[in-house]
Amino acid sequence: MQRIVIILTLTLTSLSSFSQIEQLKKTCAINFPSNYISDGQEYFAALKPDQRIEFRTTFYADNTYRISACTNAKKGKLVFTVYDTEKNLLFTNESFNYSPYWDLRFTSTVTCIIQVDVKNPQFTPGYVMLLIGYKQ
Amino acid sequence: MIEPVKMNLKLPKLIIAITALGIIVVSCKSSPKKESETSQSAADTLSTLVKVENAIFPIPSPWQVVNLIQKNNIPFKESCINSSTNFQRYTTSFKQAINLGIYGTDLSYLNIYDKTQESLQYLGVIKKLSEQLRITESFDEKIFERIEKNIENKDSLIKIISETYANSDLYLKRNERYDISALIVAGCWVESLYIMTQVAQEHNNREIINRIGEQKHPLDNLVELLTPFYYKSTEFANLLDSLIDLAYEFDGIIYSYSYREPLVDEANKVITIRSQSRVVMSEYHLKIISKKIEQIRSSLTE
Repeated sequence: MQRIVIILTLTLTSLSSFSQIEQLKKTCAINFPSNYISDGQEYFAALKPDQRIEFRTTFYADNTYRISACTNAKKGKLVFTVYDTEKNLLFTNESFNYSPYWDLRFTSTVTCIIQVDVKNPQFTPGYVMLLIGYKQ
Repeated sequence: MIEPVKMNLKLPKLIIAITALGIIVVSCKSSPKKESETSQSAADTLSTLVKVENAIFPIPSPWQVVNLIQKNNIPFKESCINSSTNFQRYTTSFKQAINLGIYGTDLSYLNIYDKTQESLQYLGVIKKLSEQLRITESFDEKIFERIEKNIENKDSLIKIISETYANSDLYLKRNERYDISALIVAGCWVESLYIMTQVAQEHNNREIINRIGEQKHPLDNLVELLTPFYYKSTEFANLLDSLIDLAYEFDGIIYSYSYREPLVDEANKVITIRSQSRVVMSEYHLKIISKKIEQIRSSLTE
């Protein structure tokens, strides 16, 4: 009986995560119009206070990319920052009123480091999602 | 706002979900670690860096690669794509997943060159492989109907294909089938590099040769994406070993980079990144990378 309760609890938790991610995707997609083509991958992760996410990605020359970021973590603003691999700051949405999306136009191919975190150490843990796509 | 749990599953699905979860809990199967924390670097921020394995190792879109080939007015090369009849050979989930990625890139390549009949054929193969892999939630009937309706419209089709692959990626990750998700991404990447090298050797096009050289970081990401599954099977170990071997060849390519301050267009929410990078790739490196990716691709499609 105890095992069934544990399994049921885990199932419900898992279903809750599913619906949270689905909801986030809908929110992110608002700022991702149809003329942007996804790279075929979905980027999401759970984020707790005092944590940040970091990853590298390559943006090709003569392309415009859109980054659309969203979170369901409460009491905090989502910050996404783009550096080059030498850690020169290229862009942060913090300087632009925490805009949930921005377009990055590349004149040359550049590998970038993208950092995502939530401003406010007291925020409620939640999921963070990013949609990245190039302009058709 | 966090959505309330929606209990809209039909009973059989719920039973399957509970049974599947039960098997996972009872068997205590070791799954790849999802989060690993490293302590913060000095003088950085106060936050801890979270490296999310299996989730954030982006690989640039294969659709962009095939676009570049067509933009350079290079004719379509049929021998570059995996024959649609080969799919019957793929009986393991490893081969089915990796070839689902390979056929995805092939479909984009066919579509960009207006190969409507062949595109429909490849679409059928993709449908069958997705059924065998049980990812029909993303590759459902409606998607195939949408694709068939838009088969003549290149731009719409690329959009639908990329959306479908993104949805299946999300579906697989939500269901913790990270290995399958990673293999599809790997298949897309391997095929796009294979097509590029085949074209570059024949046409010696500088833009395409540079794009090949620019695959160093995407390959590093791909290796990281696949690493947690190294011990899952010999097939995984062999693939990873061969990709690591390929990555060594990329180390011989010369890269230069110079930072320039970006230009911001706040009204349109656009920033122009003006930093410049350069790739210097020798004929030797093009040859050896072409040879190695051909061997890898052949082992995956045979």
